[in-house]
Amino acid sequence: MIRVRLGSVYHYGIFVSEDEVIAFGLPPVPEYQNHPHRFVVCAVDVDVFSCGVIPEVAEYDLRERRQKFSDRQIVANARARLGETGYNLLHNNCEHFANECVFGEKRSEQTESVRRRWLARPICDIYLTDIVQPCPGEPLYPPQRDAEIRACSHDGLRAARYAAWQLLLFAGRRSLALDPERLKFRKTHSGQWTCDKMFFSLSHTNDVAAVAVSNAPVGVDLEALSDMGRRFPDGGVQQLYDSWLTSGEKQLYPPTDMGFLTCWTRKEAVYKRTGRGSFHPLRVDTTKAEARTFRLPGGSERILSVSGEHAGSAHLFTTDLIKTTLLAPEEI
Amino acid sequence: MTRSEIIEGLRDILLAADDRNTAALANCSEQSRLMADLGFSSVSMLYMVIAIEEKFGIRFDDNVGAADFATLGDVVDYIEKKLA
Repeated sequence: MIRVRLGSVYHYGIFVSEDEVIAFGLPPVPEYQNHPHRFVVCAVDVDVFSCGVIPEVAEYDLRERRQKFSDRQIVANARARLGETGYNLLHNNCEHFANECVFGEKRSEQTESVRRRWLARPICDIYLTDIVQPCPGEPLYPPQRDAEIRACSHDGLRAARYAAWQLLLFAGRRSLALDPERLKFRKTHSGQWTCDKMFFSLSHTNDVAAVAVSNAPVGVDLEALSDMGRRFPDGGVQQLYDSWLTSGEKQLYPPTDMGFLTCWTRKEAVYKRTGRGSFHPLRVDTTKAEARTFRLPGGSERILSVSGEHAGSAHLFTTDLIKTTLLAPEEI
Repeated sequence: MTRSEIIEGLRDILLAADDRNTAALANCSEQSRLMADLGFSSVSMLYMVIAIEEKFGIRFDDNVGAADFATLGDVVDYIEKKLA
C-alpha cells in the first residue's frame, strides 16, 4: 500500500508496479475534478497517482503483518475490484479501499480521526436572552427548580431566574442535543444546581439572562456598566476597586468602572466554575485564570466574562428561543 | 427542521471547524462561498461533512464530493433534501 500527501489529505493506492497503481478514484487534484472516471477503482501509472509527490510506502507493525494478506492476494483483491463505483468520501474512499485490499477490513483513519475530533470538540456556548416580565406560566423542568423559582417573591428576580432556566434548557438542547426531560439536575450542599450531562453556569442583569453550557466546567458572569454607576455613585466603584482587587489584579486592570467590572466579572466567572466554598473576592485571583471577557453590543453597555477549560472556544449567541444569532463581540 | 434551523446548525459546525473565523461566520449567508469567503480547505470540508452526518443524522450519498458544494446554500439544499 502506498500513499501521497496531496494538500492536506492523503491519497491511497495499491502499488503493483510503476505502471500499475490501483486506487479508488483519481488523485484529488483540480485537474481531475471533472474527469468522468474520478470515482472508479482504476489502474494508473505511478506518475499519475503521485502527481509529482514522492509516495510513502506503508510500514506495518507486527499485528498488521500478521493480519494482512499476502502480496499476491493483495494484488488479486485490488484487480478484482477494477471498475467498481460507489465512492463515498466518508464511508468508501480510497483509504477504505486500500485497507480492504490489504487487511480485508474497511477503515479510514483520516475520516475516523476527524469524526473523533468532532465528537470530542470543545463546546463552550453562551446564550443571551431578554428577560420577559411578567414571568410566563409554562412549567420548567425539573419540578423542584420550577417550584423554587415560583416561590421567589421578588417579581424581577423571579422573571430573571425563570428566563435563565428556560434559556438553560434551550441551550442544552441546541448546543449538546440534550433532551431537557432526560437530564438529571441536582442541588449541591452549597445550593448550586448541577446536571449529569453538561456543565453550565447562569447569570443575569435586570433585563438580560446569560447561560453558558459546556462539556467542561464553566462559569459565566454578566454585569451592566450602567448599573455600577447607579449602585455605587460618588466614587463607590473606586472604593470597590481598592478593596477587592488583589495587588496582581491592580497591575492588570485600570482603576476605572470598566477595569473594575472586567476584573469583577472574571472573579465571579472563575468562582462559579470552581464552585467551592463561599465567594470571597480576594481569594479569587484572576491573573492566571482561563477567562475571557467581552463587551456586548447594544444600548446599555454590558460586560460578560466566561471562565473554563474551553473558554478559548467560546461562542456567543442571542436568542428569543426561536431565532438564534451568532454574535462577534469585542473582546476586552 | 426549517431551513433557518439547518443554517444555524451548520454555523455551529463551521465554528467548531475554525473558531478563529467567528466574524466571517457571524455575517455569512447562503450565498457565502465555502472556499473564497469562508476560507475552507479540504480538511475543513471533510470535517464539515462528517459533522453534518453526526449532527443531522444523515448520510452523504456516494459520489458526493467537495466540488458539489460551492456555497453554504448548496450545503443547506443538500441537508434539506436528505431530511425531507
